[in-house]
Amino acid sequence: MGTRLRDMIRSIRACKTAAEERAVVKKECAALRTAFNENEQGYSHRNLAKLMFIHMLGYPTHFGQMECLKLIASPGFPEKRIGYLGLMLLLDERQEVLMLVTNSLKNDLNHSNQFIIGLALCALGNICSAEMARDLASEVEKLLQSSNSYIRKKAALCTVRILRKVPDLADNFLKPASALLSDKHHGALIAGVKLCSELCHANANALEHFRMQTHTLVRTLKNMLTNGYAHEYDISGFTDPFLQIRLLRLLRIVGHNDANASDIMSDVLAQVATNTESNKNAGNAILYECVRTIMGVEATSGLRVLAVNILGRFLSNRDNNIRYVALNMLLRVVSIDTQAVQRHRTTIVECVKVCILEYTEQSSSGNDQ
Amino acid sequence: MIHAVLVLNTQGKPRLIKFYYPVRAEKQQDIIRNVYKVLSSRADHLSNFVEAADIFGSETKLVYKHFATLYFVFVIDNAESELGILDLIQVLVESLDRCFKNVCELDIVFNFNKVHTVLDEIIVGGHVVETSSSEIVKAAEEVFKQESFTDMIAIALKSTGKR
Repeated sequence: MGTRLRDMIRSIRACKTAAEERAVVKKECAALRTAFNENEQGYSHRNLAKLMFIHMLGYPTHFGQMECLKLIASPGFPEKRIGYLGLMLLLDERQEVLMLVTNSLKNDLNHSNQFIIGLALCALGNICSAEMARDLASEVEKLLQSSNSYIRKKAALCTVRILRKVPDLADNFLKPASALLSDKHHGALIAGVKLCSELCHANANALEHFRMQTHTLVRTLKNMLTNGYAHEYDISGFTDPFLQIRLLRLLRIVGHNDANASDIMSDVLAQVATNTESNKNAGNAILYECVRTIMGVEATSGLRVLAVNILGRFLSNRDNNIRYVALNMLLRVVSIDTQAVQRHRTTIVECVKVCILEYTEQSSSGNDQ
Repeated sequence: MIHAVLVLNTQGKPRLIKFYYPVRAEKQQDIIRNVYKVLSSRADHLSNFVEAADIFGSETKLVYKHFATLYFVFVIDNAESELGILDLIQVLVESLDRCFKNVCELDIVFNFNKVHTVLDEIIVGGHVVETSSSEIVKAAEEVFKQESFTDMIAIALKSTGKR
C-alpha cells in the first residue's frame, strides 16, 4: 500500500542532491505504477495526489492519466475531487483520453450534490474540447439557470470556454446570459458580465443585443456607486472593484464605434472618473479601467480631457505600478489625442528621466557584484 | 485572460503550478526556470509588472507579488487589468491565510492539492469567478468537510466490517 502523501513529500524534501531526489521519485513512481495496475481499492486518490506532486517537480507522469478517469467515474467525493484535479493538471492535449471523460462529466453535471457539479464545471471550464463543448452545451445551459448561485457562476465561465471552442453555439446562450446581468449574487454577476463580453466577441447579433441593454449595465454600475455596499466584496474600502472593472470593460465593448451607446454611458463614466478616490490600488484600478473605456468609446472631448488628466495624475504618483500603467495607456492615447498628451509632456519627460536614472543605477550596481 | 498561476519560492522551486492552456510537462519546467530568472534578478523598487513576450508570447505580462519566501505570479494578456490582478493576488493570499491560519510556505507544500481547490474557487478556465475571500473560504471548507466526512464513513465501514 506504500507510504502516505505527507511521508513522500517529507522524504523528497530531505534529499540533499538532485540525484538523491531522482532516486526517491523513481522508487515512488514504480510503486505507483504497480498500485495502478493492481487496482488497489481505497488508496487510489492518495496515489494520484502523490503523482500530482511528482508532476509539479517535473518528472514524467503520463502513466497516471487513465487513473484520473477511473477516479472521476467512481462515486466517492474524495476520489472525484482528486480525479478532476488530476485531469486538469496531468492531461496534455491528448484528446482521445478526454473523449473518454465526457460521459462521467455528463453524469456529474446532473448530480444532486452542488460541489460535485462544481468540480465538473470547473474541469470542463479548464479543459473542454470542441467535441465536448457540443456534447455538453445543453447541460451547461441548464445549469446557467440554476437557482444556486454557486452553480450559476461556475456555469457562466464554463460557457466562456465552450464559446471559445465552438462560437456557433452563441445563440443558445444569449438569453440565459442576459438574465445574469440582473443577478443579485456578486460572483454570478462578475461571471455573467464576463460571459456577455465573450458573446459580444463571438457574434455580431449578440453585440447588437447587448448594445440595446446599455441602460441596464449603466444602472447596475450606478447602483454600485451610490448604494451597492456589500461588505464582503469590499477591497480596501471600494465596492467590489473587480465587478466595476468588468462592467466598465463590457461598456467599452458595446460603446466601441457606437455613438448612441457611448452617449448613454457618458454620465456614469464621468461619475466614476470624478468620484473614485485614488489613494489605494483598488481605486486606481477602477480609474485606469475607466480611462481605457473613455478612450475606447465615442466619448465627448470633455470626457477625454478628464481621462488624460487622470493619467497625468497617475504619472506623478510615487507608486511605480501606477506610473507604469499610465505610460502604457498614454502610448495608446497618443494616436487618438496628441494634443491632450502634449499637455503632460513635462511630467512624462520627468518620468523617463527617473526611469533611466534607476536603470543605470541598477546596472552599475549589477556590474559591481 | 489569465494564462497561468505560479507560486515559486525564492530559490526557484515550484510550489504550485496551474496552466490554463495545455503545456507539456518539460515545457512547464522551462517556463518556471525562465520566470524565476526574471524575478530573481529584478530590483525591489521596480513595478510589479514584467512583459513576458519571450516566455509566453506577445502581449503577455507577469504580474507578481513577493511574500516572505514566496513569489505569487499571474501570467495575463491584454484583456486583464494589471492593477486588478494585483488585488486578486491579495485575495488569493488572504483566502489561503484564512484556510491555513497564517499560511506559510510549508502549508502550501504539504497541502498543495487543497491550494488547488482554493484556486479553483477563484479562477475557472483563466477567468475570475469569485473575489470575496469569505465566499471562497466558505466553499473550499465545505469541500474539505465533504471529503473528511466520506473518509470517516469509510473508516466506520471498515471497522464494522472487521467485527
